[in-house]
Amino acid sequence: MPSTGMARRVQISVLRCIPKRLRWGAAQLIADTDTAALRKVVQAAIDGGRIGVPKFLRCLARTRDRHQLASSLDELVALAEAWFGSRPRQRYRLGEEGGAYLTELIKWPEGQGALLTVSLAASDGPPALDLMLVGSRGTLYHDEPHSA
Amino acid sequence: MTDYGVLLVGCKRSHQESHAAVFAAQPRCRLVAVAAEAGDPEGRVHQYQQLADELNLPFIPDLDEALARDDVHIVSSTPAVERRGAVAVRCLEAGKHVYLDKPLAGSVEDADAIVAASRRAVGRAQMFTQNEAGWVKAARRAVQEGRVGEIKAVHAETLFSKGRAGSVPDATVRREKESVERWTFVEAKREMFDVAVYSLGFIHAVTGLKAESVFAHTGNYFFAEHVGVDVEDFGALAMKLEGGVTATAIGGRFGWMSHPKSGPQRLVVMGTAGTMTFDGFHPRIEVYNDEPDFATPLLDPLDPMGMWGASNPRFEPPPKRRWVGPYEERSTMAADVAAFIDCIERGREPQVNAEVAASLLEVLLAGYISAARNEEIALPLPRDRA
Repeated sequence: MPSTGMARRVQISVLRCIPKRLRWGAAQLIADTDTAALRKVVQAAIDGGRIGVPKFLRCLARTRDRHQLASSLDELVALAEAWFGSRPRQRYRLGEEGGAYLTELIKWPEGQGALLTVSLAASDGPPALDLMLVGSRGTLYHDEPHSA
Repeated sequence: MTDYGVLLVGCKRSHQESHAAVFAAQPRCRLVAVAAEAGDPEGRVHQYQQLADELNLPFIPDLDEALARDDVHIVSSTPAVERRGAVAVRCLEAGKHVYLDKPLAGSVEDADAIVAASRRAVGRAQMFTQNEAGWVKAARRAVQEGRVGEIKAVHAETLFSKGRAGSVPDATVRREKESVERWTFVEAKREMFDVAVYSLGFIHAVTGLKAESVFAHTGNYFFAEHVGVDVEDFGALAMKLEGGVTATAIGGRFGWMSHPKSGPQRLVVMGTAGTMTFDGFHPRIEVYNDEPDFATPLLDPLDPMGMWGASNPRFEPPPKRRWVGPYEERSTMAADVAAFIDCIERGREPQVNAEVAASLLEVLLAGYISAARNEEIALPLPRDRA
């Protein structure tokens, strides 16, 4: 449903006040994407064996708020944990909260990996969530609007 | 000069098949011969002979003899990774221009030797990348025009949708090794090495910066063939570049059916004015109709990963026709070769010269060390490593 950028930003900031463990199932947004719905549909694809065993998640999210980089990145890590079914063993971070971006290259004990980035959208550009979940025999994409 | 004689140092089942086709179609060039190192250190002289026969060219089984010819001006050099250092140095020392297969070599020692030879040489050296693709040039223009503000970070990815994925044994967890003893196999290649080098090239195209440290991860996610020879089929790198800029890169091979075309190619540039994304398959049209969908091609026993041309027409993969890019008939390698010849004619240094190519190789080699140790590795690598 179309909504204004201001309304979306308010929704995100309200969600940040809610403990993460209570948020699943509610409407959650990263870069204007309803991650609860996304998590569910991706999980269904995984459970249906459509990509084989999930192996690597690459996620590039764009937000308008430089102070939501870390919280958005945490949400992406939570998605990866859910789809891989375990917690990571090593996280390597580049960038800083309040800057232009935050990136983590993450390793799991069972060999999976993730490369997750949240960066600032251009002032006239849309927030976006560009996701590629690579499985042992197939790959799942959630594409973003392109700037070029 | 508009007629450059090109010597092919490479064989069947190597990238020389595509290099030769591009040089043959280049109006300023003509193919002269195929040559191999004397003594056949690669053990596949018959494949050199085979390529010469197919191209109706003379085969010279002694590289030095071929390099002594006055009608050879350019060498297209695609020997096995293990021989790239020795071959490139001899070609440069013979005064030839050298178009190099990627990655540059298999060790920092070989790369250093090529860089040193290129500094002494009268000829130019350029390594093949995909940096001449229109979408990469668009990214470079956007950065130069300041459209992302001050550049802070770059992400680049290249994955090849080839090979029959899904054969990797359950519960395979890759244990990376710090040093690589062998690069060349029939059934598989080191995919971070061979494919992520394109992503690193994209990063260099838009930043022009060298890496100061690397943190990397490798995986065996898709193919039993790669597990069988203990090489990775996927890799990811995170780098700190000069000037406080950072970059991430992905490279790998993930199966015929994992992408509507040849595989993702993407460059994301993050700056103080926002983020811009550039994609090798955007813009495009998409065509859905009653034509049959792409299906996994028959397994080519001589090339199970689809690395080279099919060994028999019945193994030729059908085209993927759902996505159609407006410029996909343009060959990136043809543009890269044309740019190389422009550099020769205008006395200009190629953008991906031996020094830049060596810096990309060093990132990859440091990536293996990082993935083995699970720690960040500083660059440059120490030169006294075995």
